[in-house]
Amino acid sequence: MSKQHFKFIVLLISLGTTDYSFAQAKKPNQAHISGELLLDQTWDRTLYLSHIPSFENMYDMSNEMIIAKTKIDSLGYFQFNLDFFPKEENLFRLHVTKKGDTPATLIIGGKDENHTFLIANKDSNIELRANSLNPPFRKVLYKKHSVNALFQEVTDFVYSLDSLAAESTSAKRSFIDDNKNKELLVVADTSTNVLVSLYAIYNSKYESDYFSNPNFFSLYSEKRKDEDHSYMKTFRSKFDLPKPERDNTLILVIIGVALCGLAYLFGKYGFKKKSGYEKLTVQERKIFELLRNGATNQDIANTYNIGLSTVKSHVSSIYSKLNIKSRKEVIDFKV
Amino acid sequence: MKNQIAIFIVSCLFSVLSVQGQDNDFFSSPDSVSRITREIELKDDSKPEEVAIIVGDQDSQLMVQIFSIISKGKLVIELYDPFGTKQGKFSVAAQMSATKKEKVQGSMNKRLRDPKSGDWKIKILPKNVEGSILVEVEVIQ
Repeated sequence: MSKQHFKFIVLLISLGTTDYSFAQAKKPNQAHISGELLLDQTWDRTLYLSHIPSFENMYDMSNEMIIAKTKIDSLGYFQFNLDFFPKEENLFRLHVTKKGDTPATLIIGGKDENHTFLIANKDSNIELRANSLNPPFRKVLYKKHSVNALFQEVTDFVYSLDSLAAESTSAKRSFIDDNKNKELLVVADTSTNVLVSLYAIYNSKYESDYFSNPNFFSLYSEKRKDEDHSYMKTFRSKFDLPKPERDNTLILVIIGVALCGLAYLFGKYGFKKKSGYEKLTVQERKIFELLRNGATNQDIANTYNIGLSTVKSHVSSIYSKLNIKSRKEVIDFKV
Repeated sequence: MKNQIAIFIVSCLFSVLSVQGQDNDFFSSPDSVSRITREIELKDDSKPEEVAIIVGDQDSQLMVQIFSIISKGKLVIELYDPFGTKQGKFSVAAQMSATKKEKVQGSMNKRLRDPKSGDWKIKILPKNVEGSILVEVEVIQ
């Protein structure tokens, strides 16, 4: 085999490998997180994906949090399929470990910082490229997925100002921190994505800010009153922020009208105390009228052509219902 | 062409040396360096502990590195500045059983120039932890 042939075969093999890697990394119709990482020889070539149930847990590590792992190929490509992901967007963390370290290893800060955060759900098609060797996730660029691009902008903003602050004098650092926090609260206030918004808040000095600027958090909670996202619920519960009431004016008006109607009906048929007269039967009422006019039992018996004993029975019933004892009281009774 | 390559190499070297020079300037000839190293072994431990770091007015840099590895329980480590503001936090949790033995590692690196003077604190909050913690602190004047 000539030297040129050998070179050609090597070129074909290398192109084939590259294509295969791309093919592995990109399956556009399938929900996935894929991308490319630059790793030196000190890193193990396994990438772990952890679910972060709340922003409080961003810097927690346990084996239970790791939900998937994948190999990073020789060219740095990787892919996770997201078929098992929830429908709602959630926070996730990608991390790598140093060779010899346990998979559940979290390194915060310094050149060996080993993780990055992102937002995903079962419909996400996320492609990223991490362009830094040390730390590997320092410069992450996203294609397509605008939410993660925004998310990464917050990360980069915080990192750049924190780095600047770490190198600055105490007084200057104070200005930088104040500026950073103000900017993050603006992002939190204006972001349409609740996770990006919360991420900005959690990267600010939110714990101390809450006590110095509680109005912001009340207004923030009010503005996001329709957000039922679990991450927002956790945030509200942390500061005991009440979930703002919805506008219930219409419901209150309907209830008010209904109550008025009920009150009217009860007034008409329910609560109006029956007088004794209303308890009388039609026959008793006729007899009652005769009694008021001074009729005797015999007059009544003759008028209605009924027996005397029947008249007495009716009169007795009328006395009982009207709670009276004599004919005089019948005459005085106010109907 | 050769000249261009030479100029390029010299430029690169100059850039590297400049960066190196800046880095060295950051750590340049400190008057004094005080180091604290503490190794803490935890055996089914749930007792909170604090490591105090005293930073004086004249101290120009503070470096804190905390490494932890546990096989059981939950460990929370927090770093506070002298004003009580949390400057960092992480936690690690692991379960150890007859069938499952695992290790979980967590570490934090913090470097600050012109740190606030006063008592910084590393709070160690273990819950039934089997493991170890290594704290390395450098205060440079």
